[in-house]
Amino acid sequence: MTHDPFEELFESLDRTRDLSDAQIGAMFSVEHLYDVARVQYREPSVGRMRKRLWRRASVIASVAVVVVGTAAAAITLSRGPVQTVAEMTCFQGDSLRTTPDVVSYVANPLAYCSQLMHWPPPAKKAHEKGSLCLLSDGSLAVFPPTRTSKLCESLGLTQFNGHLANPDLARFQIAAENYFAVHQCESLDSARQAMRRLLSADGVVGWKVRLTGSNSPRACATLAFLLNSSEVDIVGIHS
Amino acid sequence: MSDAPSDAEYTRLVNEHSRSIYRYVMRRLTDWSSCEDVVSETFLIAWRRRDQLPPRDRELAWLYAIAFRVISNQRRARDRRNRLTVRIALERKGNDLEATDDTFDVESVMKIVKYLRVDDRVILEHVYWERLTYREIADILGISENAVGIRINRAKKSLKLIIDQDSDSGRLSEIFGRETEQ
Repeated sequence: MTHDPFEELFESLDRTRDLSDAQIGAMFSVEHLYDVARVQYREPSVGRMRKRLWRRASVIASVAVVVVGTAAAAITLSRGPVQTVAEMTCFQGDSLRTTPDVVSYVANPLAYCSQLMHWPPPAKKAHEKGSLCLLSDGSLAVFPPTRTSKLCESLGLTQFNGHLANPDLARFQIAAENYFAVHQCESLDSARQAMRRLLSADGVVGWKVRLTGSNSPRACATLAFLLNSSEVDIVGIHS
Repeated sequence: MSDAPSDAEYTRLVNEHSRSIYRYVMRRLTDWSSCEDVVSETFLIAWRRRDQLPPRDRELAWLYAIAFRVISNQRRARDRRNRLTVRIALERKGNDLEATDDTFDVESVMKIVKYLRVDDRVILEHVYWERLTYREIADILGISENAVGIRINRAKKSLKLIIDQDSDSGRLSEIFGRETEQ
């Protein structure tokens, strides 16, 4: 019998290893799960609306982190090119009220969202393979195939014109996101130096890197883009 | 609603798999109070997508895939709100875990694993925690079976390299070194 040290290593990190299924069952209310879906579907006027409102609020909140100020939102709404590629939003259906999933930007948004959201195959009269619209923060919203023509317009959104507003900045945003995905608890100074290097490498001019949040030596650096003030915030968060 | 699914079918799904899903979520979240919300959301999505329910032998992996996305979404939402980058279970000391003579020092293990790329760590978690097949992991992560094999090898190599380079890894280094020599 061979011994796998990787197995032993991961087992040591499994916080549930000493818990039996019965103990887990006792810790949580399994009965609650029986009712969750039924209540949601039988009382759509209350449960679903709350859920939808919560989701909309979460989308809006996430947008607010990336874009500060309503002025910037108003400006970007009237433009076709994508302003930020730090992330994009895949939608479950052809409405802003359907389940959203905010993901990192990818080169082929329709194919990616289709797979991620398990979109059903397009109907015979569906338009294209889906729709690409702009949200108010200038990021991409990706919708499944629909029979509605001009979906973006019908949702009050601008249709994506296939261009990036600033390709250099887009490259930097993607590189910065990737950097922080890999370096999950970097020191603030290291992160600042890395962002400066990336800005320079991608030829982005006029942007500043600012340190905010906790300045404790144990703080982990996290990232925020402030598009309207052309700033990259390195935010220190206590680990 | 007229489109209510079969209560019996849903109850069976919950009965058979809820504890496994709780375990899956608990392994990945430090905030145990969030576990119930994540599991509820997982089964709610399963209810909505009931027309896509796979054969019974693939149900659990299908639920894992949903839970994986719910956890990922929850982390992204939390990160956006707090400007936090993803930080999960490994950054905190596990609840009741304590190092003993015959186990790894959990703190040093957490430190080591934290240096792994996120996708490397995620794939090894599915191999060693849920003991899933390549096919099942491929379905959950949305990649090919071939890519799963490649990533597992890459992740193991990275982890081994990190352990070798970490002067504090002590017993870990000793065990992995011994394994390599054999």
